Amino acid sequence: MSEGWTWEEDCEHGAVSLSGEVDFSSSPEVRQLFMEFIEQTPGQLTVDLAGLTYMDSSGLAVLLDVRRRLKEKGRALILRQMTPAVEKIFRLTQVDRLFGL
Amino acid sequence: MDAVECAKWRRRAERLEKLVEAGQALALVEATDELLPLLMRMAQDVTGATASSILLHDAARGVLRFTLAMNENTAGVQEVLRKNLELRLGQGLAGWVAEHREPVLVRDAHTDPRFFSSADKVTGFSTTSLLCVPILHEEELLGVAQVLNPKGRDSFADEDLDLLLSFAHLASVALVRSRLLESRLTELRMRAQFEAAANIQRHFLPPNPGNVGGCVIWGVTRPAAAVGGDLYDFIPLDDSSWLVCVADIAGKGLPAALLMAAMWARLRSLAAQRQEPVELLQALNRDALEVMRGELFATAVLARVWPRSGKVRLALAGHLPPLVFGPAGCAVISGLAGLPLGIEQDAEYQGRDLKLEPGDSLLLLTDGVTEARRADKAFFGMERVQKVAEQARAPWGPAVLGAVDAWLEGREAGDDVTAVEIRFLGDEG
Repeated sequence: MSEGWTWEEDCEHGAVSLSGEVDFSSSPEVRQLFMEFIEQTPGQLTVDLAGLTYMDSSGLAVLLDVRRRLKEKGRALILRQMTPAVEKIFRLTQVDRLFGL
Repeated sequence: MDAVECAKWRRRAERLEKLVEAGQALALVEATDELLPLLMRMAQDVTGATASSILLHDAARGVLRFTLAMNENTAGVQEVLRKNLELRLGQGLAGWVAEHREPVLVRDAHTDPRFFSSADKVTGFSTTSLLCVPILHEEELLGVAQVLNPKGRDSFADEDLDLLLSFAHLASVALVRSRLLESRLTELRMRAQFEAAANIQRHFLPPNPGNVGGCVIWGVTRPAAAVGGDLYDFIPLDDSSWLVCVADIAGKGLPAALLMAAMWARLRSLAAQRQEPVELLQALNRDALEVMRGELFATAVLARVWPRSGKVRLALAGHLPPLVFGPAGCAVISGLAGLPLGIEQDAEYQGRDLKLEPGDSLLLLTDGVTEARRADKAFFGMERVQKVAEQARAPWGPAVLGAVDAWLEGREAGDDVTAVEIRFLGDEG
């Protein structure tokens, strides 16, 4: 089981900050928050991951799903400031290039 | 004491005895559906009533449901009341009692404005006097118990109300207990289902083929929960080469296991027509997009092995790169590229060939190995996997798993752990 996680959102600027640890026990809730946020905001979505110390493959699946849905609406997903632990999973699965990282 | 007093006290003693019996009997019953009829019969007995009913509180909808009604006259009456009647809190007498959480004694039903006569209209029963008490447990309203029409008397008395209140207390304890037992039963049933699923899943795993004519093929998986999202398979092909696959669905538990079962079936059926690892991944990717609908992905590594020569053709989709263990140490295989399955429509895969030397082993792992976390949160990591080559000898698959176990120090792995080893024997094979 992981530690907790926090979600901070700024609807006006289409920005989200995700911190703590996200794994399969928390990823469904995170997914839900993203889906709601996508509905409530237009344009580009920026996610700041500076405080995200751990994410497993289910967390990555959520980000990929968010990216896909935004892409369908002609919108972009920008990821900012990853910790080394999180960057590792992006590099290993080679999805870093999908996010322009 | 005169005869009337005496009779009254005797009656009281009998009814208190019944209450004690009720307490003892309730302690023995566990299932709610056995409990309710028993409660009703006892309520009637204890108060000398002709009929009774229990309504249970459905907190989610804010209504009382006539769960059971019983009387001494017609079986038909019971049926009707069980199916048709619901009262909102505040509606009718039972609704009033539920809302105010206070008992009520109605000496004459027809003159009391709180009496809800629809039940009588539906059932044809004629209520004269009734007693109604809330069934409470701490702050929670569990329901309402009613008894109607005392035998041989015009109306119920205050002492009947006291008795019914004591009875309601017993009922509340019994109801709470049976609720707890039921949820524990549900939990046990779910766990049994998980174990059954885990058993089925083990059947998807191939037996270890051992020496297949120059190479020894071996694999093992340890699900983190009862069922896992990791898969490995060994498929013999017509030209005596073998297709070895290791895959990992993002996630754990039952959903991952179900998707994994679907992928396993597809791999087996695709391998009958396509044997090139890159082509197989492309086909699997199209399937994965359909099945997972963008919500999940799977990583995979495929190796086609020619056991006699030690030649291997590799392709991978977002998976941990394979490793070659040998007397000289351990090298991570580079040059393999491809996104995980289920993400992009026209994914491209960059494969490569390699040649094992006699005594070398190709290891295919899932990231449950590298992501294994110690108590201090430190990860096992790829470097430690490679170090096993210095610290142990072939077979390296079991050695790597042993090193992970030592790292975890008895704690559970957070993710499914899988290791497959293809050991090239060379001329000794």
